[in-house]
Amino acid sequence: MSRVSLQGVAKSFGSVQAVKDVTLDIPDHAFVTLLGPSGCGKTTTLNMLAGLERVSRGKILLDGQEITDWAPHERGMAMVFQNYALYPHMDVYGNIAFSLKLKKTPKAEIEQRVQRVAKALEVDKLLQRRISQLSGGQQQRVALARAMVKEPKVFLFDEPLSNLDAALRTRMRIEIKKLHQQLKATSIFVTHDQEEAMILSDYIAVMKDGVVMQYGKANDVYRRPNHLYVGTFIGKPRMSILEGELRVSAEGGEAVFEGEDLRLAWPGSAGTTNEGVAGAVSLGVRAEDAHLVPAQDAGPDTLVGDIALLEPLGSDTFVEVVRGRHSITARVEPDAAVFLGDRVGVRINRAKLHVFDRESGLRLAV
Amino acid sequence: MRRMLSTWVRPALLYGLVAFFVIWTLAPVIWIATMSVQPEINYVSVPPHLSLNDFSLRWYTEMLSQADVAAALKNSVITSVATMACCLVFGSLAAYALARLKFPRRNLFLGASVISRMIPSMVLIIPMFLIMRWLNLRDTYAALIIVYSTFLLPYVIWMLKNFFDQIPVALESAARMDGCTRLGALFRVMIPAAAPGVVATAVFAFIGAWNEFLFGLILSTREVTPITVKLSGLVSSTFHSDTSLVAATGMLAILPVVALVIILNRYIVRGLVEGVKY
Amino acid sequence: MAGLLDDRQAGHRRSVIAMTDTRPRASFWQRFNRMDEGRFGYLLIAPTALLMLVFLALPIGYSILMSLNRIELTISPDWKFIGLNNFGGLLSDNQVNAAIPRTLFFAALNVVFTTVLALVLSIVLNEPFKGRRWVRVFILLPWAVAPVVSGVMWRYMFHQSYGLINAVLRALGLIDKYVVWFDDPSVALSVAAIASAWKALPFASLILLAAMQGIPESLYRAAKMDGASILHRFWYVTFPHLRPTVIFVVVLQIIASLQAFDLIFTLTRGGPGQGTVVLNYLTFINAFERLSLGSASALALALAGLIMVLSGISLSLTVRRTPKGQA
Repeated sequence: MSRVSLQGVAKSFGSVQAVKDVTLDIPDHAFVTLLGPSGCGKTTTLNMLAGLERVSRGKILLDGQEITDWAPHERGMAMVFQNYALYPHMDVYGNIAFSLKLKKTPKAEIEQRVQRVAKALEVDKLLQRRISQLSGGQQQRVALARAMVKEPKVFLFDEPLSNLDAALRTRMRIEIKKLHQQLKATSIFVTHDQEEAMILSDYIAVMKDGVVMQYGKANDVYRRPNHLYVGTFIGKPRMSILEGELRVSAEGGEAVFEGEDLRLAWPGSAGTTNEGVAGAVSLGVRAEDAHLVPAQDAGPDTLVGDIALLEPLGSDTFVEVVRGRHSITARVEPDAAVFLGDRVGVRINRAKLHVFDRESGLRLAV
Repeated sequence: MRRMLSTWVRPALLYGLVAFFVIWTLAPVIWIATMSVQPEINYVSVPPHLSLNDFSLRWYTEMLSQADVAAALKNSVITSVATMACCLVFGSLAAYALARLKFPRRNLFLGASVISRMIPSMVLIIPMFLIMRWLNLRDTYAALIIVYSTFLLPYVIWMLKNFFDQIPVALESAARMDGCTRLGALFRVMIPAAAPGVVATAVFAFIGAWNEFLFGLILSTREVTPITVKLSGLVSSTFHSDTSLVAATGMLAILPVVALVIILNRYIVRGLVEGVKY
Repeated sequence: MAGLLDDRQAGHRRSVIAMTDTRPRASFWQRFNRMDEGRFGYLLIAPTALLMLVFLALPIGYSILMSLNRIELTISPDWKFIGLNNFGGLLSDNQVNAAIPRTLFFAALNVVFTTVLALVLSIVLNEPFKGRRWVRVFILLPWAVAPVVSGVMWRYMFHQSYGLINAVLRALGLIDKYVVWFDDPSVALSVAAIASAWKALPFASLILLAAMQGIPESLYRAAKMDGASILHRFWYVTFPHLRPTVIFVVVLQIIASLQAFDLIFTLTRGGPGQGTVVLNYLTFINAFERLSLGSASALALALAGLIMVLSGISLSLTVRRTPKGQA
């Protein structure tokens, strides 16, 4: 149960800067995800936290104490790996008990702790098995047990679910979440899967090119992405982007968006306006904030176009509406009567608009 | 017709070749083994007159009771085991560093170890003789162990490095997270996980030391003479009384390595193929 | 506080205590364990590097030094610097000139025997047959036998009065009287080549077999579909894939021939006369019988140079990319 903080941490391999500048404060009990595409430096960051990679610049603190140069085994952290990394020359029991044996824990206590953890993860029937006799899911459970038995201060997860098939991944995801709710141990989880990150995390740090783009509560990162990249990386379906010019009039606060062959306008309303903003923007709209209306009911805040794609998921249906070079995805009820090729309107809720500067990608307050 | 031919010609040819290679491989061994359990008169006569009635192990017992032959065997065991141990300890440290750690001039060391495999021992023998005399190490186990280890280490390091390269990095990381130091992870996890390869390498080092001749000949005078040198002395001495004794000594010189080859065959085959790769 | 500390539990509790304890320095082991990768790497290769420096690099340097001097210990213990004259003298030396054709003859036979037998053996071992498992075990034997012992074995195989070869040939009616094989230098050299091939065969056939098993099965199936016979399949599918390995074996045997010493030492002791004194053997004689250390060093270095060039060739045939450790 520990606070972890990274202060301006950087790592370079030769001339390649894998991690440029990462500063994160991870509160006690929190489940934090480092999210980003491959090569963004998230695994390197995790390895530096673990002590497996040396820090080129910056500091790492654990409960206020600097541990930047400590060896991995001094840090009291546990890690779960993508390829499980179970010791092939030991049986399941040996794998789980290994860290306790190294600490010279009394035999009886080892036995008791291994049994308890194995029960919790439902691998107690497998203790005498060899690693090669286990399925992928079983191996990952053993790997979790091996991490848990140490009762570490911090859990580190390096894409632990990405080698599992879809069904198993969903199940293990829930189990990791439940484990965290029980143990309340500070956990740092690395993944490229935004859905996984949303489901598991209290906090998400979105990384790109060795830099943290945004770090905040999972819901905040989803609701208020501070960068176009974050907005489009998080959320399924992907956030729709309309490219054009946005003007907000100084007096009434009316906002007008003009793109190629497209004009959207929202009347002013008190309290929502920042007057005088204007410029080239990327307008982000999430599917749940875009409402399908009959074409004849179109208002100034409605994009009229043709349905180009239907994605029925059972619980919802996502509709892609195309107009010229613009396309926008809206969510509708699964039994809505919409058909491919229909001309429809998409009403966009001004309050839920995400406005990003076209050039820098940064969020604009509008 | 053609089909009939192929149904018996192919197996006949195959088994014929198998027989040829088995005989080719075993004949010299079996012949010397035979000589070592028969009185000389039996195989000197024309044609050889081999008889089970004359079977005896007395040439072995006689050789083993001779102080110098028994000592030579002991010397070979000591130097070979010690060389193997040195090679494994230093070799696994270096191989681990080369397989896992990034350090400046790593490639220089790799290159040097490749080149050192190409240096023929004849180049080194005279200076080595002088160095060992200067260090006062002539005719000591230390001299032989040092020289054999130096020679074998470049091979051992490459073999071990190739085996370590095949072990996932995460396995070592897991061990370090579980509480091992780097060296702890090497000895508790990497080496056990690469056990078949390490066994092959150990056998390779042992056999390399056991079979060495030139340095043994030059660097030992009496005290640490290995069995290979002893045997060559027996063969060329003009007045040995009984060839069966020489044959028995030859058998004693190959028995340990032959036993290793038969017991650890599978490991050795893998290790040999692995040792060739760069 | 410190008095409550038990050394044995340090591993587990160290960090917990360290938080409340503001110790100025980490202990020796802590500093050792936290050592950075580069320094640690150096530390690990240091023993090996030291051994190689003192017992490889130093002797080579010393050898080069000796080769530049006239050192005839039978005459005097003095060194006389003569530059490269030892190397120049090699080509006009009668002994060397006599040893070169012997070495070439020996090397040629050695290469042919080894390569041909290894190719056939690897094909045989690649076919399924009864008892293949055991044959594979026995075939490996000669690899483990010391060259010195294989010299003794083949000496006894071809011995004039108790050689198995003589006995078998006589039993087959091919000869009446036992042949004195080692009287003829070229026969003696041939026996040396046979003994050398016998020892080299397991390794050569193993790497050929490994290369053969690396050939994708689909190629054979395609060739079979096209109606290619066994010989055709060997010639058009197997052999092109094996070529680098075959060349590797050839180079390896040339190198082995240039380094031949142990085996000939017990097989013939250089006889009849000087009939089997190959170049490497001559180096030994020059150094330890004639005690002319300068010229012996020069000859050894010249051979070493040749071997390095050949090794470079064989190396370029086997280099594969080292797998990169994942970051």
